[in-house]
Amino acid sequence: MNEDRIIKLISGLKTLSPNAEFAAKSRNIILSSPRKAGGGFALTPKTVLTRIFDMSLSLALMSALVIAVLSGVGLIFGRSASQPQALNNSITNEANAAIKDINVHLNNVQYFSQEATKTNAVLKAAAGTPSTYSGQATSTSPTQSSSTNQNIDNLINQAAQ
Amino acid sequence: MLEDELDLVKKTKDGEVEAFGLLYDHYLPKIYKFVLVKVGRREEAEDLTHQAFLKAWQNISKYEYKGYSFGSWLYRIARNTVYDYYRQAKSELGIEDADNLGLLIVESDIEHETEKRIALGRIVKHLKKLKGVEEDVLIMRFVNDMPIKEVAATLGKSEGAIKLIQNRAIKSLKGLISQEA
Repeated sequence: MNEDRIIKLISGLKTLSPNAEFAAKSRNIILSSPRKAGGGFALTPKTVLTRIFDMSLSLALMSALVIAVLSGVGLIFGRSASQPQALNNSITNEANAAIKDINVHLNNVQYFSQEATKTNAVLKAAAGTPSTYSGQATSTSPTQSSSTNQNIDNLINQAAQ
Repeated sequence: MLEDELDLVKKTKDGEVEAFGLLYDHYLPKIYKFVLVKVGRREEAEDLTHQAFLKAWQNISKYEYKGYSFGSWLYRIARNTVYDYYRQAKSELGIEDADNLGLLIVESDIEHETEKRIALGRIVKHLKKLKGVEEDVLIMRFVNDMPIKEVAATLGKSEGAIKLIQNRAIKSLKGLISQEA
């Protein structure tokens, strides 16, 4: 079989044709189906570069966002981890300061108490009489009488006689 | 190439549905023949041809005339659709089916005398044994009467390369037929 004969045989397949019913049905379906808006992108160097740039930009922004989020989370966890220690330290410091104040006040009280006792003793010794300070409250009491009051009573009685 | 093809493409892009209808009417027989010889079964050929035209319709805004016709663009879509089909369905096609492809086409589509039908069946069967690109070139050149320039544009090769592929394919086909005889 020569080459021309082969080509002639292949050309015999030209008689193949689509079924008319299929052709009409397919045509109607296609023409009534929606078309893609914008149509995506054709593979030209310009569109490929644009796509690559868009993708790079998106990736860069995405990476920045991820880094920002991770940094934020890191900071939050970092703070929350160190916070109890700082809090403990400040409470301890405040407590220590308060204890110091209390100690100072206690020392003052003790000092003044000792001084009062010493002064009282000195005054007693100097006056030889009971401390007026200690008896001051009772001397004003209307139910008790002092020697002065007794003298006054006696004088009033004598005057009355 | 259709005379007012670019005008029809423009009108389709502008929303004139019937303009694509005219392109469909012109190219359907060519694309259908190409697909049918490639897959060998009427039902699959109808499905794949429909898919190819549907893809073209949906993506026509991507088509820009750059030296090759709308028809070449359609052939590319049809070719890719057929190759996708083969990738998916290869495991489902048995050896017997492949051997009978040619006879199935001839018996169901061509009304010729028995001897000629068998000869055509053999040709189709042997075409399937060629490399994909060799089969494409022979179908485009001798079934669809496409000029070498358009075949080259469709397959993304030089005209010289298409001539070489065509010669090699015919020799291979001759060899296959001689072996069978």
